[in-house]
Amino acid sequence: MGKVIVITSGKGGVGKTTASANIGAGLAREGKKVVLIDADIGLRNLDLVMGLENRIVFDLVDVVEKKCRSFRQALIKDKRFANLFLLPAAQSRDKNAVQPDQMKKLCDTLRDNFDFVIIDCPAGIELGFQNAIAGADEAIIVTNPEVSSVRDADRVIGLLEAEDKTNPRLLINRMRENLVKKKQMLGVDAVTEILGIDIIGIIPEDEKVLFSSNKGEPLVMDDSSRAGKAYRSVVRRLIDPNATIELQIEENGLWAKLKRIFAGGNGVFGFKAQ
Amino acid sequence: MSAREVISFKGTRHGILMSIVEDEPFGRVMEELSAKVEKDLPFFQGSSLSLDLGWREMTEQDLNELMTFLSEQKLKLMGIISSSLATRQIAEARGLKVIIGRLGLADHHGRTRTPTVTKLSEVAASEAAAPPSVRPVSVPVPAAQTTVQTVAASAPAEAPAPRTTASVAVAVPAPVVQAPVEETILIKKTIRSGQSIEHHGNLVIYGDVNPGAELKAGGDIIVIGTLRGIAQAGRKDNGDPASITATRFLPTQIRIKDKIEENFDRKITKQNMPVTATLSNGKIEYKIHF
Repeated sequence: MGKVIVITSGKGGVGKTTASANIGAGLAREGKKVVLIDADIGLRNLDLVMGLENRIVFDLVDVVEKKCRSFRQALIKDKRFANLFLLPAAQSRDKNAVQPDQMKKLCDTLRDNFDFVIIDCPAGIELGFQNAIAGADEAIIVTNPEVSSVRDADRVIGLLEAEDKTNPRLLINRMRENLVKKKQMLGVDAVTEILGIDIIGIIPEDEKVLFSSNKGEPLVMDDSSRAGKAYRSVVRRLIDPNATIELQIEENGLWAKLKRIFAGGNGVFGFKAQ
Repeated sequence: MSAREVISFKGTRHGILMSIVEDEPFGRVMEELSAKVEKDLPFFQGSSLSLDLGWREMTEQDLNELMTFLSEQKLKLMGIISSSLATRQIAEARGLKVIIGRLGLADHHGRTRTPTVTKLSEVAASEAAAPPSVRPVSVPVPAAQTTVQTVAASAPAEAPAPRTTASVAVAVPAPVVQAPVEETILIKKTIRSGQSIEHHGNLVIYGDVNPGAELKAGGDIIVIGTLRGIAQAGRKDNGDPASITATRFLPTQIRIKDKIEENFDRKITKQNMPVTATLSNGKIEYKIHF
């Protein structure tokens, strides 16, 4: 029996798709059998970030409408990992093409065939969101350390509670410790004080995220990237809920790392400081 | 088909409480309902109904169908109890009284839960010596779950006899029907952005009230936690004084009766101390509890 995890946020552009791709690839790297579902029908992106756009034949709507023989026909095998699959969204349809009970059924089928089912939720709280969360066992809420995405995350947590999906976990994305120190950005404490849910990871701001999305290569494979490292610790916590120490090392280590960059040596962005 | 009861009824002194199984298709619910009402028409005739819908998501069409049917049968729908936000919003739009919760009286399948609404007066009556004060009753519930408890503000002179188990000691929460006494409800939950708690009596929140959330009470509001959202007290125009108290007082806005305040002196909000806001001589005044 696998786990169905929805990655959601309410607000758009906070990094749901990037998180889905990296968590999916990270789990596959750890040897888990993973399927990623792009639930953003009409605005599909996950295939691009995974670099699998040109392999799409059937999509999520085809599976739900039974236009292909089984869900297996629509699954795209990843280029890098044989145990990672993508079920892409339809681009020519809209959110109304799927209903929550159909998604629930699909998730139940996939749960029996995979270790992890990761659902990339669309922005908003309308039908697309209802579809994405319908079959999920767990939720990861992605937020940036700024007021509007925290407010939307709070709304989404409330909606998940109303659906009896309790204990979502928080992924804080694009954290810039130097700005937090200068009190120009919300810190981890300020975010968790309002949301009051457990943290699964903190992803530092990293330009490499942009490069890797454009290349279609999930960052989690890049050992030199700070964001990639942070995603790997998220993955470890998904596999083993007790692996909490990593988070602290990441938090404490961030400053040390930044200092190292400015003091010279190999920088995060791959260039040598003069 | 399974033989389980899709709809169950419970007579209360405020009318009939009807619990509908949450995961049964709505079409079947309507079938069952018309069959039951037809069979026992004299029992139902002219009575008031409250609906316990649990987490069922009703569409507007569903609710219209249900309300049309009930009015055809001359049954008065007083309000609903639902843990689904969407359902509550639709019902509210139709002018129904709404309460957040899930009684779980029906044979709910899929997700089993302990009942989350307890009438404290009944628990107090069974404990005999315990005075009816605002305090949580130990109902075993999972974390982060809504717990709504109804408290009779005055001593329950005509409290019902103690029941044997907690699961049957559930009465219709007063907001759904006309309450005979002033009531206080205790909600053990963080109230999040977009959520709104409305009650005709006093409101006690044991949890945070986040920005974007809203509290509306006929009487007083007490937040045992951080108040960051909007709180409105004293909506009932009966001349009684109303107050808003929070153990951490950082609201976006407060309203007491017709006075609105959104600019708070930093002396009040920076203290990290409990604050009570009251209305005196047409002005909102604050008391910091050092």
